[in-house]
Amino acid sequence: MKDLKITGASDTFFTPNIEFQGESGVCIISGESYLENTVEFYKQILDWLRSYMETMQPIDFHFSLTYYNTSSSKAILQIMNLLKDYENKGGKISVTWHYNPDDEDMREEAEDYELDTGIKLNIIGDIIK
Amino acid sequence: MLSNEELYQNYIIGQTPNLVLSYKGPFLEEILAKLSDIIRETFTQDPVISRKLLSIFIEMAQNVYYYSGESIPLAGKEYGIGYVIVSQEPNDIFKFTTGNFIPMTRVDGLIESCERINSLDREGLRQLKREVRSSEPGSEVSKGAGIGLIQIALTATEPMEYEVIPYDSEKSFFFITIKIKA
Repeated sequence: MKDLKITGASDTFFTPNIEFQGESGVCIISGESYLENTVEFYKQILDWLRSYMETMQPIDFHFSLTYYNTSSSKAILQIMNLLKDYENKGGKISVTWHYNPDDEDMREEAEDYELDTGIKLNIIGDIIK
Repeated sequence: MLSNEELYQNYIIGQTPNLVLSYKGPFLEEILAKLSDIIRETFTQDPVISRKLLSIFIEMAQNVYYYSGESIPLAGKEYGIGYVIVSQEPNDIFKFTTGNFIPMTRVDGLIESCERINSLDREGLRQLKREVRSSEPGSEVSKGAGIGLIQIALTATEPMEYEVIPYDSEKSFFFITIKIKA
């Protein structure tokens, strides 16, 4: 499957870096997320994941965001729900939450997503640049 | 229209010690981006504090942008009008205030949200945020206890201060102040 690659930018809005590899199933979202149209931006990510999931290949997902606004946090929840559904249907997933070890709030966010979705996150105090 | 003398008096009276920024007008994305840059550059030493200041600023600004009872159409889009002032107080306290008109129909709900948020401890706020976030995934504009306000309260180090000043039969003016220790 074709890769999904979006280069992050920080101008009027903050676009995260997206690097989803169709071959290996390694998916990384990093940087900052505050977008003009959050729903539209994350739709392409959800669509890519849904197509990938048809292959039933394993997914190694990495969240490594240093900032996101509350609209983006709803989109992140949708990604987590989708990954959890995939696991429930027999898909193999590994989901890692990277955070700045000094930023306790971002660790709490990971715990809250676990409670919301029942997903198991590997929570690591180390950011992917 | 104010005379020069009145504008001068307004400016002098409005002088805030240790002002970081002050803006009144339509909350255009481009302007908010520049103001965000000022916020970030004010406190670059610590990326966590910098992230928290930015988070508070953006959520507060978005509340004005979406909910202000006064707006202006520009290039086919409707922009909320309001006021934002950020200052650095003694003991490394950053103070954020926004002010904007709100329609009368929203006053009770907004006060209720603020009271509810201020009555909760950190765990209660986290739980409320999770409830609100799960109840309407993907929705850009939340109603009631907006997730933005909850996020602001979670990031702040002191309870929110808010005040509603009656204006006329259709709208009131709403102030909210958030303090965070750097």
